[in-house]
Amino acid sequence: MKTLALLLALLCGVAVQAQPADARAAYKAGLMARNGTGVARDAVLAARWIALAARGGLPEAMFTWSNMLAAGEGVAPDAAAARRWLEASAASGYPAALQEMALQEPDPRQAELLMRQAAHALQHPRP
Amino acid sequence: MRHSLPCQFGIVLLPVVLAAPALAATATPSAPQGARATLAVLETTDLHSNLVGYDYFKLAAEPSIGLDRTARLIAQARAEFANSVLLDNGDTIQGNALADYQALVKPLRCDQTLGIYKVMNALKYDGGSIGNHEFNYGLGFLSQVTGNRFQVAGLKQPKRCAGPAFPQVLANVYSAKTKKPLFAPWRIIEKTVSAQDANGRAITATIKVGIIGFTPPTIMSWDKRWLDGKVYTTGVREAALKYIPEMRKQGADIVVAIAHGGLDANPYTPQMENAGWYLAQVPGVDAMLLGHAHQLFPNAASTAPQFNLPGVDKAKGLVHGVPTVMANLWGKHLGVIALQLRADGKRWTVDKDRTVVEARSAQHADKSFVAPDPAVLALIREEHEATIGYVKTPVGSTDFRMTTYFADVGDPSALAVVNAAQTRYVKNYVAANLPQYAQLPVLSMSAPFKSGLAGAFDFTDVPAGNLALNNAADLYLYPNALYAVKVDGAGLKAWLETSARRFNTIDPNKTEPQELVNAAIPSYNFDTPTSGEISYEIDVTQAPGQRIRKLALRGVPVTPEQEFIVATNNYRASGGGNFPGLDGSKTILASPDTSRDVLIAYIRDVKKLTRATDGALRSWHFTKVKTAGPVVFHSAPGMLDLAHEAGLDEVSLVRADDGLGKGFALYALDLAQ
Repeated sequence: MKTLALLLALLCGVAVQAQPADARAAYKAGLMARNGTGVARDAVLAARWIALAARGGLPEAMFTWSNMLAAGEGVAPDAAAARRWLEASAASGYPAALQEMALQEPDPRQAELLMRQAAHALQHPRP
Repeated sequence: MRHSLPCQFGIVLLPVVLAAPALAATATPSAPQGARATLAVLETTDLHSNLVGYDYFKLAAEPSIGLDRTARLIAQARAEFANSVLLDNGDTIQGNALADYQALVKPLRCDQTLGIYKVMNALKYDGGSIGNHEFNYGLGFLSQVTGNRFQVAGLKQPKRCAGPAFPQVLANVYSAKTKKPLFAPWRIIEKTVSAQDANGRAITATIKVGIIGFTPPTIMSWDKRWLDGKVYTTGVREAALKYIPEMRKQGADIVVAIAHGGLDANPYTPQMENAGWYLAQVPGVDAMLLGHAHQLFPNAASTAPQFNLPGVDKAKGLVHGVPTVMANLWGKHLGVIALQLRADGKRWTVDKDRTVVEARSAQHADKSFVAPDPAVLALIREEHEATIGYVKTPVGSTDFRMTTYFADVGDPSALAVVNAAQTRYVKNYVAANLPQYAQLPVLSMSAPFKSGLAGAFDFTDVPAGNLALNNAADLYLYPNALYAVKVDGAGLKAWLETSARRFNTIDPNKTEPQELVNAAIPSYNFDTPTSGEISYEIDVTQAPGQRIRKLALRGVPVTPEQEFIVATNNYRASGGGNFPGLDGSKTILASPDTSRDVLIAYIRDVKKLTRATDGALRSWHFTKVKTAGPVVFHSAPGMLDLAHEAGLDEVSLVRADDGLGKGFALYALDLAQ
């Protein structure tokens, strides 16, 4: 039912803020479409689901959405938006996002500090 | 989820009304009517045992961190404000090699004070709370070093040991044995302050500062092995609702909530990790010190979604009107809440409109840092030097030099040991925990993290001889955690194709020199296995995405459906580098162990690394092709012998100086060999 409601929201273009459980469900659906797991591979549908999950506040979805925006996968490439979502994911403490920020950071000291934050964040596994 | 405005007012007023008789009974002349005072509440958080600005793995000064610099900020704030309380938020005793040394390598004696508490005692902290990482070394260690005698199952501590000279409070962790809080849930600090009476004359008064602490209830899963069955937690909001009225009854003029957590507006649960947004809505919180999330608050420029939540003023430092600070981490900042207090003849109250919140940086606008306070190093010199000795202690040895100068052209000398360590770890894990995958081949991928990006010196280069912990940091630069994924043959090929984008497309007919390496693809995304089991060729004459040839497992061509387990790291498994199919959905193992620790454990176990077993196995070669012109690449000068020692006879030196002014030499690769 929830999935149906989300799908309707997607199809109708309604701006919704997904709740955490919904965001997780949306992300799962997005990954399935992205990887062709159990469903046909569909980059555009994947992008919609994963964007919804990112807007719902799921840090890993923010990171994947950032990657998709950077690569123009299922969506028009948008480097600035990719960067914003990367920063949002990192601000939520997602280790891979902090690592990516570190790897993209030209100032070695700042990069090192981001890496250390990633190391710390890795000690807090989230379900 | 959120109360309506009238409802919020009702909640706020209720305890004030209920507590009024008790307050009347405790009224003293210490709060003469009309008197005013400023009390600066100073916060450090997430110090993680960074006492001095030093990187124990690089064995070098690191001026951007350390309590020795925060100490200067503390002294400045104390000079500026006549009245202050200094409080620490937690995540204090764990987080660097010095902490590990004192907890694990040479555990502290009962009569010794932990290094960080020695320094905090000298800095005259008024109080502190307990973060989640305080539990990392177990309840016995925590009980000892905090000067407690925890009444928990399985812990026998004959006497109270040396600890901090200031009170530590924690309101939401209980002993399962006694059903009582592990630490004092709250304390009242009576602070004699300089104030002004109603006529502006200087007076001395007493302010009762109540402090209450909270830690993330998620410690129960993070440190399950230490805590399960021994302690339990309550929600942060529940603990606040229970104890803050008690504090008021006992005469607290103001209540400072020290919450080791950040802000999160998801629906509240008693397990909520970052409960500050809800805590601020509990009646009676006058100021809030946050931590754990490693953020800077207030911070008008922040893009963090948590700081754009309703009720959060990221410029002024208010959460639902409560003055709130989070002082980043590692002593980089000092939180300062200058509470403006006024007395009504009975008690002091906070004038929230005039209160100013800041997080002061140990770094100046010109990027320089405040000078460290040498007294800090003087206090813990012995611990500091002992830690350096520990980091330099050999854990094994190698009979070959391990380098990444020629990793791009196939030298596995610095990668093979990483792959060997990862493979062994994952094989053991699968055998013990994932019997359904026991038949699947286990591969490992690693990439050269240091490949000259910062200059010709910026390569991994570990000499033959003893290997110490700091060498492991050179061999495995990044603080990744070990992860494993399950992929099929098509996924494996796609992974290798993405790695092979590291190379430019070579036209064999061109007579002019062609650059082999595509500098736009970073070396850390050049993943390769180094095993005799898997083999393939990279055909650089083909376009990206069509270069992997003859992919075979033990000599048999890999089919698209064939399944593999591949050891890698959290970055790659979670989608770092955007490799096809790797976005977290293939992860079968998310190890709590860092890749570097896995490597160290391997070296400790093997003891003596030899080139034959840990530095020579190759999984891939370039597809042989005769090129009309040279194929060239850049690496550090004077290293040709290393290429030949690694069996790369196809490498030759073109020029010792490539002429580009960054100190690199130009080498050629003969693809026909």
